[in-house]
Amino acid sequence: MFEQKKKNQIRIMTIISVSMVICLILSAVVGAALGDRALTSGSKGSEVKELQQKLTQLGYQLGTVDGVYGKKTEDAVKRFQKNRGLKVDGVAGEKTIKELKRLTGESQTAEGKKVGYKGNDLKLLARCVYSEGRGEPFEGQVAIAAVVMNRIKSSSFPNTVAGVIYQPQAFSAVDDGQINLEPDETATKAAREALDGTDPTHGAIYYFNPDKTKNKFIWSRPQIMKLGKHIFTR
Amino acid sequence: MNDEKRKKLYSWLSITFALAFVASLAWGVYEYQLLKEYRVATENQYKRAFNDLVTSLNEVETSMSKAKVANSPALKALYMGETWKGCDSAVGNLGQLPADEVGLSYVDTTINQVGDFSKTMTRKVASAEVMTAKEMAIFEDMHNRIIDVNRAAQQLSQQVYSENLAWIDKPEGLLEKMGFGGKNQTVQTAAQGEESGAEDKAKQEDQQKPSSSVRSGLNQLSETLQKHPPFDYEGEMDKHYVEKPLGLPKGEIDEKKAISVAKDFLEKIGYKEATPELSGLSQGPMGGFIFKYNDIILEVTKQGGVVSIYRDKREINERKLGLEETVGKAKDILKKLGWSSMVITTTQDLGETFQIDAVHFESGFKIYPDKLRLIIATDNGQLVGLDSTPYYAFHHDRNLNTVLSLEEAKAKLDKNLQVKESSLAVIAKIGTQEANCYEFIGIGYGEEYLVYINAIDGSEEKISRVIQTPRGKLLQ
Repeated sequence: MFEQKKKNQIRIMTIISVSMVICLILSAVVGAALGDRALTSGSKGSEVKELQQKLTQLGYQLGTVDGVYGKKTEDAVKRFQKNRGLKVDGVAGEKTIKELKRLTGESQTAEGKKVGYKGNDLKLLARCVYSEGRGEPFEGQVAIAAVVMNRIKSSSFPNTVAGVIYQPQAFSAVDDGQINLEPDETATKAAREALDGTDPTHGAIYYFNPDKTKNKFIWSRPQIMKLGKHIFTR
Repeated sequence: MNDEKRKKLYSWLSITFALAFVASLAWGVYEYQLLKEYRVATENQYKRAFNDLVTSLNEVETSMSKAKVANSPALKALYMGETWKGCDSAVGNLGQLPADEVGLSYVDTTINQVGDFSKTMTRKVASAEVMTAKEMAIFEDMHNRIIDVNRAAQQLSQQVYSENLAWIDKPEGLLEKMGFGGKNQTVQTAAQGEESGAEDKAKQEDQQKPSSSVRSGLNQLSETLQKHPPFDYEGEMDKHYVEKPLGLPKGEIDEKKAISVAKDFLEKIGYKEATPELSGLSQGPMGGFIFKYNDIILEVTKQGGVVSIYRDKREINERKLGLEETVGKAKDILKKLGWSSMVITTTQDLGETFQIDAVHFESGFKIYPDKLRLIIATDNGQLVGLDSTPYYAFHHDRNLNTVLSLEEAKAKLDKNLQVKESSLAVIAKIGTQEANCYEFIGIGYGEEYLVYINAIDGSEEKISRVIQTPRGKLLQ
């Protein structure tokens, strides 16, 4: 009888201790911040969500931001690691998360005052490149972004990135809504180069796919070069 | 099946069909309503843009008129500034209206050019300089054209409100092609009403083809503006490409020579025995031969036979090099390729690569327009990208003189700017013009700035704000 009572007491104590440990772990997971631990395939929670948000912010597609470290998130982490010259293992460890946090931080002045992300035009330009030129070689994608930048410089077009991209009839991917597709990191990289001034087209302001276009006007423009499937013209 | 059962079946069927019909009808009505809402929203957007366009043009025209007569720097700069601002707004709104082709309208070009010119003049008159007689004549010419544009826009606006004018012409339908269907309303622009002479009249009649849209009205206006000679303005206003590259070596090369240039280049950056193959030709002033070799694409110019663009998309392995080592590698590469006069100005950490910009350095001057961009892989320090087009577009012999001493130039700076570094620099101004300057890098108001003081006349030429971004320093 006495032994039975002792057994029961031990059982209750065990249950209480285990529950406390579980509670502690759960609270740690729920309140955990990105960087507290290495995240890997199968990880779940707010840290994973933050990781996914940051990857998406940098242009790495991973499907929905759902807080679950699945195959797509692992692939995105691998691509990020590859692009940043890190060890490609698909595990979001200390180095990977540190680099991710650094790159998604705000810009600052000399004395450290935060002044925002400064990436508005880049996002839109990357969408334009992705929707118009996914599947094209990298140089061809830089060229598409360069056409937008050349139009801004030209006196025959609007003077802002959004003004040029959303000009009616200017880009077919805008008219049919593909512009709203999430761009990948290649398109983002191409857009960044063009924003920085790279122009492989030597001043093109139009391009077209010769297999799909019969438009007389576009064929009449002075052609500069063919990159990928597109002919770039002045 | 007996009659009773058949009757039952028919009645069930009828009820199902009736329900389906009612449901599809309701769905149709819902879709129609939705479409109507969207159409109204789009129409409102167009009307707003058009209205803003007409208002901006009117403001531009009025500001230009006032700018002509203003005799104090304060007011002249104010009205010039308003002209510039109004032109920017007008071009933005014009770009929101439906079009059939983009980039063809002389309406955009005219307004943009007036905007560019008034921006330059705003700066000039704000520094108490007097506009030359030639500049005044150009401004007068511009004002006259803007009066035409403004009148045309006003007239179109009247028609938009009184006749509910369409935005673009609808393509001819089958009935019209067969000769049925009435003629549409013509939108005659005010600018055209001013034309005279038999030839002009014939063209005018031709342009007055039946149309019933805002766009066709703007197209007619564009054709009228196209007949005017281009503005006689020295600065190159449309600067999206360089018509005459100044830095390309003389003489043209053939394909054979281009192959040897490509091979030599590839060997110097670490690809021995490379066999680049011609994949295409590019046209225009910077045009030439495009080669491919494995993951590499590179272009050799026809004039002068130099490598203008190079890109290697090879797999880049785990990063081994930091900023300093990569910059060191970049310097070695520059030397190997024969660019002995270049200094590195900016670096950007792109992870698997560094983007490094270098400019020509001569007689103590950093020549910013003569720029090269190098992309260096961080796994082994190899060159994986080169863009030398700015260098070859702008490099030429310059008169690198100064009138002001460093101290005299420094005295022109804001007193709160603590100078950390100073040097001489040539910077690009609006169009193709350049300025010999002192470059001061300093901290003021908690921020880092690059301030350029003209080394000839002491004017403050340009200010760049330095922002620390995650990828490196950004000049705004």
